[in-house]
Amino acid sequence: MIICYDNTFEGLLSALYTYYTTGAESILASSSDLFLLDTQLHQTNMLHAAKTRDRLLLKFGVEVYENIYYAFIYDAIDKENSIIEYINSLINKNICYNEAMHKIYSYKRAIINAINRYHGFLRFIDIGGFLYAKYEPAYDITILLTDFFDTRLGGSTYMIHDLSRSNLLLYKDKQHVLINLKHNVEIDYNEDETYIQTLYQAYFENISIKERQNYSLQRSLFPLKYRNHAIEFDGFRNKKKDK
Amino acid sequence: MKLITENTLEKLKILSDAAKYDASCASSFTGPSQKHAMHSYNGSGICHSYTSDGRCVSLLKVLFTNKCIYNCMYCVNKISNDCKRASFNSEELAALTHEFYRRNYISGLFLSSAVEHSPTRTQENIYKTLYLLRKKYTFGGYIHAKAIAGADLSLIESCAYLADRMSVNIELPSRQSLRLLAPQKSYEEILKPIGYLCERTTKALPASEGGRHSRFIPGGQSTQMIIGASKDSDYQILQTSKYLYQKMNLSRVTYSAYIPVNDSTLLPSIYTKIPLKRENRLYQADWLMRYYHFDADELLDEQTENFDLNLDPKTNWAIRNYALFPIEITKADYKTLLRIPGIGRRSAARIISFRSKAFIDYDALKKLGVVLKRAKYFITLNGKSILYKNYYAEDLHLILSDKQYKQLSFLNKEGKILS
Repeated sequence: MIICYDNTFEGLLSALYTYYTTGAESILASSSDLFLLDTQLHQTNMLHAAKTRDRLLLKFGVEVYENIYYAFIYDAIDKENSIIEYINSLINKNICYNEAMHKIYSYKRAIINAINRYHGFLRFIDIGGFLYAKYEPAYDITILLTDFFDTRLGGSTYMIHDLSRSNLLLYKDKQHVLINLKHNVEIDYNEDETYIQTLYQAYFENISIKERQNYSLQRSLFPLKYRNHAIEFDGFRNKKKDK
Repeated sequence: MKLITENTLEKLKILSDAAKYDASCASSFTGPSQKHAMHSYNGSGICHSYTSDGRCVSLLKVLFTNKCIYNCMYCVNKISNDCKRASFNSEELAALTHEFYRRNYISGLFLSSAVEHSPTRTQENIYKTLYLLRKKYTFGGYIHAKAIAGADLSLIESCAYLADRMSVNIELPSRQSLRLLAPQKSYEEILKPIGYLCERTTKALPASEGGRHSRFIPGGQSTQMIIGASKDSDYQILQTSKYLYQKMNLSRVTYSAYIPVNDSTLLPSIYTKIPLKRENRLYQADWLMRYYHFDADELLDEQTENFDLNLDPKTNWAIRNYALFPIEITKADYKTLLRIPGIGRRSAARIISFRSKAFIDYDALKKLGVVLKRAKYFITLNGKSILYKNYYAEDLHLILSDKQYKQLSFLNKEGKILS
């Protein structure tokens, strides 16, 4: 029997509890194309999830727990199996570098790289005292960006809009709220904001040395997929014109 | 009063264009500058963008002014150059930095300046900007400020309490070159603020009085020199760097390849190719001195004054000292491992920790990060070499050289086969 969970991290932890107590075949995230398999829809049990979390933390420490969380965020088809194999190898004290470990570490690296990149590449716009940024990340990392931006923006109210998942994170009065937006949001800003953006674009153009131009290097360091909302590459302005 | 005006755009264009040749550090992490600062910085070396030349945009890199009283031959801002001139005012620049910072465009400010009126007045403007940023805007971002040679030392010291890093441009690698190309400047005047900042940072003062661990330039001081504008050799450049690292306790020396912007008989021709490769080799040598326990005299000597541009300095050194090789990987200590081409600091540390736990073979070495295509000529593993034959140093020079060989054409200019 395959345990089918609701695609949340708590759901995964709860499913792991059931997996280890009932001896199920494997775990999979629920989706519509699983009807041919012998699956059992798993109802997330928060108590079981908390138990699994506590055991993982107690037995293996914070790092392993974080690795599992990163692997969960990573959008791989067989991530659940990799997580199970990873935990099994830790239970069996198999410290050799195996395939499951390799996968988990590569997932972690990909997530951390994406987070580090967005620390720099995210662009905020001032909409009447609020700071608003939109982006289209490959992984659901919005929550993981908050630690950095809470201090970076010095407690100012800010919003990070994940366009890929229609999630909006609002930080206000030292509290985070994650809102799922069902409709498109159009953000408008005043002339002062446009002028600041123009200033930055002018700065960006003038700071490069023509004699040393190297577009391929620029492209490898700042890949195109990150440029949609970077104002220096005219991302914002183009989007506005399209509307 | 509106601080950022319509003129700001034009000023920014002129002053960022004038600052583009300055080699800036990328926000070396020095910790938040003020506790409970409105915008405390929390990260290290964040790149916010990359310009078309592939350089990272981490800081707002601008000159305070490009109106200069000096006439240094190599400089684009020299008084005799006919170019657009502009100056920020402190309030305007502080507001601009703050606006850029809160939108996550930059991690901080790199503030340099030409010398307008006098060095002290220029330093005063820099100080005013820094003060406004730190006090008015409670700016917690990274600040790299220039100390202007010839300015009042107490002003430089005041800036050092507000900045994360300061630098005095040493300009050229030798006294003679400076006398020739920038006769209005003197080496003594340049070294004075460097020495003063060095003395203040290295003094074992308690944190409350500005010791190393307080806010007195926690990122230390750096300097920049232009490469290729004068006839100084790589040996001379490395000797200057060695002096600055050892005697002046500098955190970093940056090398900036000379871009021919001015025409003069004392300078390389305006059509000269920018010595980017030479700049790269000097950075590699600098790295060897700072992190690989190499001495400047080991890398070059008075007989061999310049680097072979086709070989990196470490490989060059290894070939010249081929008698010291091969080195046994399983027995060599950390410092010896660092001397092997193809083995870096990380892979050397991995070898040390791994070899005590498990058997190492060549595949394992690869996985530990060793670049075997270079290292294989200089190592043995468990007493055995991976090579099938012995090589002489001259052979290695050819094999490891970066030189690109081109296929010669079989056709002459008319397109006929050469006989």
